[in-house]
Amino acid sequence: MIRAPHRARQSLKVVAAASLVALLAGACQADSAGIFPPSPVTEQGVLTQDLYRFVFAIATAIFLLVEGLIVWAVLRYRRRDDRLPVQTHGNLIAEAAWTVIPALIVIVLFVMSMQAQGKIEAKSAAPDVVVDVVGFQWQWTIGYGCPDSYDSATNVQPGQDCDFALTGAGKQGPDLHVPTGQTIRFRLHSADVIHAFYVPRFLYKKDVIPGRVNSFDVVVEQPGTYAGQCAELCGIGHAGMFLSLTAEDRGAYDAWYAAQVEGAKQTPAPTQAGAFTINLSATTAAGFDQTAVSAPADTPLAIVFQNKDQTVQHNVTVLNAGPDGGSAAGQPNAQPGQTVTYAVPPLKAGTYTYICSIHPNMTGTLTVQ
Amino acid sequence: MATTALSPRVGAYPRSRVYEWLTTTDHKKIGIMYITSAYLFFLVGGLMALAIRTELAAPGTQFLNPDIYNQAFTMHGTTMIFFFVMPMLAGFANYIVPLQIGAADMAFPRINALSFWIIPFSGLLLFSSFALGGAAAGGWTSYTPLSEAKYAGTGQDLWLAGLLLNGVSSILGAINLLATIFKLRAPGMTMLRLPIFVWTVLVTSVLLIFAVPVLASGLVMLFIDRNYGGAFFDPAAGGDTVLWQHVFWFFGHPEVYILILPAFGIISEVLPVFSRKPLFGYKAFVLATVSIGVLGFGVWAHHMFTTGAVFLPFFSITTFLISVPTGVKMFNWIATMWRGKLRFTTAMLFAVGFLASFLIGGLDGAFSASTPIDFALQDTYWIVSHLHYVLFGGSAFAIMAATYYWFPKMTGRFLDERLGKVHFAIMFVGTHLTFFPMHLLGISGMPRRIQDYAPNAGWQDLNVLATFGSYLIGFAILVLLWNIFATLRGPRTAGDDPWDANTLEWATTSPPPAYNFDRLPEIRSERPLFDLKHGGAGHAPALPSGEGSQP
Amino acid sequence: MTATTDVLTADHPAELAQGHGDRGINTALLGMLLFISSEIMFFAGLFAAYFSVRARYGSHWPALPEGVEFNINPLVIVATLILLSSSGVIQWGLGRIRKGDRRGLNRAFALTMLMGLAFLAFQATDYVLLANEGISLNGSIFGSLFFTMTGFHGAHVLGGVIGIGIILSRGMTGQFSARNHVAVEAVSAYWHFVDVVWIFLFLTLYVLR
Ligand code: HEA
Ligand code: HEA
Ligand code: CUA
Ligand SMILES: [Cu+2]
Repeated sequence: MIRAPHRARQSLKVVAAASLVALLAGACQADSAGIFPPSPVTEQGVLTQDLYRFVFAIATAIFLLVEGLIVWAVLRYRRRDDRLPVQTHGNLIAEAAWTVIPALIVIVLFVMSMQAQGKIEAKSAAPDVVVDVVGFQWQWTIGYGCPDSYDSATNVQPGQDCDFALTGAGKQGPDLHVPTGQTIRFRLHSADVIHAFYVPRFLYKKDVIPGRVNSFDVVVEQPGTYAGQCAELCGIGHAGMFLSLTAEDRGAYDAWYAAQVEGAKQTPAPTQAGAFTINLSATTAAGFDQTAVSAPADTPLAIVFQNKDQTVQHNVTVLNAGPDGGSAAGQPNAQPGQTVTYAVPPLKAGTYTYICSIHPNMTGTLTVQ
Repeated sequence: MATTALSPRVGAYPRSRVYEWLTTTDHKKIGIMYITSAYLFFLVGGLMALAIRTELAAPGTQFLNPDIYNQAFTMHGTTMIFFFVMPMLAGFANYIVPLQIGAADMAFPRINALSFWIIPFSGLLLFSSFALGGAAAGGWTSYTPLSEAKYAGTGQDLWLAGLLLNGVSSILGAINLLATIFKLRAPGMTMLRLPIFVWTVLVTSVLLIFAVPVLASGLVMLFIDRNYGGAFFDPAAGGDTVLWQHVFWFFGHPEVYILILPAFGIISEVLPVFSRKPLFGYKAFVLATVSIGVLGFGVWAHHMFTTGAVFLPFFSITTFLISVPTGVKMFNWIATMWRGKLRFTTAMLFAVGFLASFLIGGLDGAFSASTPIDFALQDTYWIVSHLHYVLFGGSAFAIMAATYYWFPKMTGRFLDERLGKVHFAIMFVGTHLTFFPMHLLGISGMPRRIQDYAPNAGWQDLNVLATFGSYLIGFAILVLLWNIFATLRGPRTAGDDPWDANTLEWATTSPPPAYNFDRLPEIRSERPLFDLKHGGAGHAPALPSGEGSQP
Repeated sequence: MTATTDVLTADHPAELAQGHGDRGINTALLGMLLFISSEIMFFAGLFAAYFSVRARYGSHWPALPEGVEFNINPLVIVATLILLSSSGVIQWGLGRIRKGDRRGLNRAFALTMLMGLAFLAFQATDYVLLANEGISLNGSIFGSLFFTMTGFHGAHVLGGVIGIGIILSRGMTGQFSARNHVAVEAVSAYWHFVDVVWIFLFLTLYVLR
């Protein structure tokens, strides 16, 4: 018969111990990751955190018990001689116990989950602030003060019909503001595929599904700025669908809101006279209609961009255009069907790359002579 | 002997070895081909996993751009589930089930060959997408509308076609196994004397027959959407996108039990043999297996808690409840070892490793059963951790145990036990180093299926740890490959019953003849060989009193 | 370790080939029934899709483009009756061969085959009619569902007709007898299944809508 040589067993133990230490070290070293979720910032998140701690305690107890039994059996009942052990085939009482006790445990967990769920999913009759979130490949548009029809309208483009709308550019997502201590309703719409609205510090996420409007209420208690990210695979830009959420007291929020409304009213700066015009368009997020254009050097440029894509917004951003290496234009985004003119300052001779900062795969070359 | 007439393959004239294998209908050869091809797919899927891990070791794009990255995890998940674990377990079932029930072959040997040969072809179809403009990139779940024609290319069609074919193979295989188990049992092999592995294969086959066709209907609908202008899942044309998720998960959840039940069966064979005790609570085990199978059809929407489109309490309670029969198994396994005489062969080590790892994965699942907690964890690395703890720490560990356990039967040779232990130790450590940190990443908010993360998110250390762990796993697999290679070149070392085992496959030669058995021992319990060796004297009732089917 | 085969007590080589085979249902028939179960689940998937979409539309069903209407082809009643009675005919044929009546079997199967073909002919006219009304696989969710469900059913009818044809040609050469007619049993079971699916299709697509 085969038996492990003593040395092999010895080294096994060493390896096992070493790995445990490594794991624990890894768990403790990490800057922000731990065995509990990051501290929640919403009223609802606190409930989730409490529930998590409770389930964690029970799971840890079961874990220790079962792993303990396994280790005990392994150490204690190693073969020492060749006699046949007693052939036990079962024990009704023991088996009933380990059926009934786990059943009771899970029923308790279920009841507690449902109680928490009831509060977390509760909807206020009159939320203080309603924020509309539109996910599209691969950015968010956030609408404030949008009409009630958005409650059920599935294909929305927050714009003129709302007080104002926010978008981000590239991986820099939009910067939402919400007041603390008040009920905020998020209404979620998708312009194309499924996304998920996820702010980790909420300990909550909800899918953003085309053809449906999902919504949820939260009360943010902790002021601060929190990162959010799309959590449902939505294509190649999925990893870059960020947003940032700032919770502040109602006064600061109102001031911010007023400034945004003011900003939305401003018309974009007129293009400089005598600018050289470049016409570009796009029908899908696959690319621009032209991937190579040219322009004279040291002349102001006007890029007239026609967004023929009926589903998502795009823009034209010229990379490395500024003297400091920064990119030019790119804002505002052109809504589906809209035409936007971007003013680009005079460029030195050379080749430049233009992209849609929302869809960095849409690229082209601008040759300046 | 009259029995030679039963051999389907006693050629009167010599044929080449290759031809013999290509045309065989012998369940043992087919089983070995299943297992071999599944291992090959495992290497391919594993290399993709290593590529994924390497990309994730640091923020930014190292060497998989987002497009390739999405293809990589989609194909990794698809390959591992449909072309590694499923065919692997089908292979072991093919080889072992007829032997364990004392049959000469499967009920439909030619259909058996067909089921096998579909696998490599459907695999090639799936993988040809890499050469034809890129593989599917919508995840192994291929959620619509991302997988619709508007957003996904030819790779998605090949994915649909590959899985459809793969499904045909699974259904035919399941029918075959069921007919074999129902009709070809040797005299005395009553249902309640079937080895537990056979029971788990039985329940798995029923699940396959009920679940896979539903996936097939979804695949067909998506194919029509993509190629013939159908409107099933396209909200713009009046369809319903969430419908795909229902169809997929109605299949998908039973599927995960399809991936684990035969693994439970393997563990239930290995533990008793190396504890020298019968499986504790045989009937409870059968009952637990059946109830997992039944409950498994009522939990699918726990994958859809965050869609806001499903009735949460129902799917939460059923998901919680499914822990109970699984727990029964866990405790019965431990009770099997209790007061036994444990021999730590490599197979046994993997079985114990399975218990230790699967437990973690199962408890992770119980967190997700709680809807509020799942709202936080869904689509984060916590889920990735859960699924690998159950699939890798669970199914793959059981597959390793089965490999070491049945290799002597299949080849007449022991795999080297010393290398085996090295393999186990490295793989065990690697598994936990890879997948444990993912819990922490998940709760701190790292979404799954992302190719990149912000440098200031604080996720890098744990990712490096996971990547390091995955390299360890890779190294362990190389040790296994070397072990197999070296063993096959070496001499025959194993006798007919090298482990002092209990079930009928050990009552014939290693490897068994084409017709499997010359003679069969009398079958009076689920351990006929044990009864034979220990004479029943003193242990006369091989089943405890109350086990109804005594002769 | 001594080879255990030396000390085996029982010797049942004859039973080995068949196991419990002589008792209960025939293996091939069992295989067919299991196959039918999986087919039922395939159609169940399609039906589930239908009802889940249907539920979202309430009274706005069938959901069709502006101006397009779903008019029921009156022939559907006839076709349904034909298919239903063909089940009776095939069962009668099965009964005949169980009693050893080969001619009865052949006649019944020839008739069933004709009835199946008649049903397929109806389906062809139905499709032409719908196409003229402007309903097709693409363009509307109702069209997608209708054509997918009836299309797959039609394909199964065709498969059944081919199966019946094979039985018929074998039957003509006298290959079946009262003791040996598993294939006949299997094909009849399959035909009944095709028939039952149609009853559900008829009820959901034409009657209840
Ligand atoms: C082998 C495969 C396998 C197995 C066996 C399981 C087992 C379980 N799974 Fe898992 N699961 C997957 C494979 C599997 N899963 C995969 C692949 C996914 C991801 C799919 C994707 O999105 O890509 C997934 C995702 C998944 C989700 C969705 C997560 C999300 O996306 O938000 C959920 C939610 O409830 C879940 C739950 C469970 C539960 C409760 C079990 C239970 O069966 C576990 C039961 C076991 C135990 C609990 C341990 C032993 C029990 C005891 C010791 C008794 C005492 C215990 C208690 C009282 C709790 N799983
Ligand atoms: C049975 C199923 C199974 C198995 C065994 C594995 C095994 C592994 N998986 Fe996988 N995984 C899934 C099923 C599985 N996975 C599924 C379903 C998903 C979800 C996909 C989706 O989101 O759609 C997933 C997703 C997934 C992700 C998440 C990707 C993402 O969300 O962005 C990661 C990341 O680390 C990962 C890693 C690994 C690793 C490191 C292994 C390792 O254990 C692999 C070990 C194997 C090897 C290392 C191979 C060794 C071979 C060699 C070293 C030698 C080769 C030599 C020759 C070819 C000659 N897996
Ligand atoms: Cu949007 Cu992922
Ligand atoms: Cu599940």
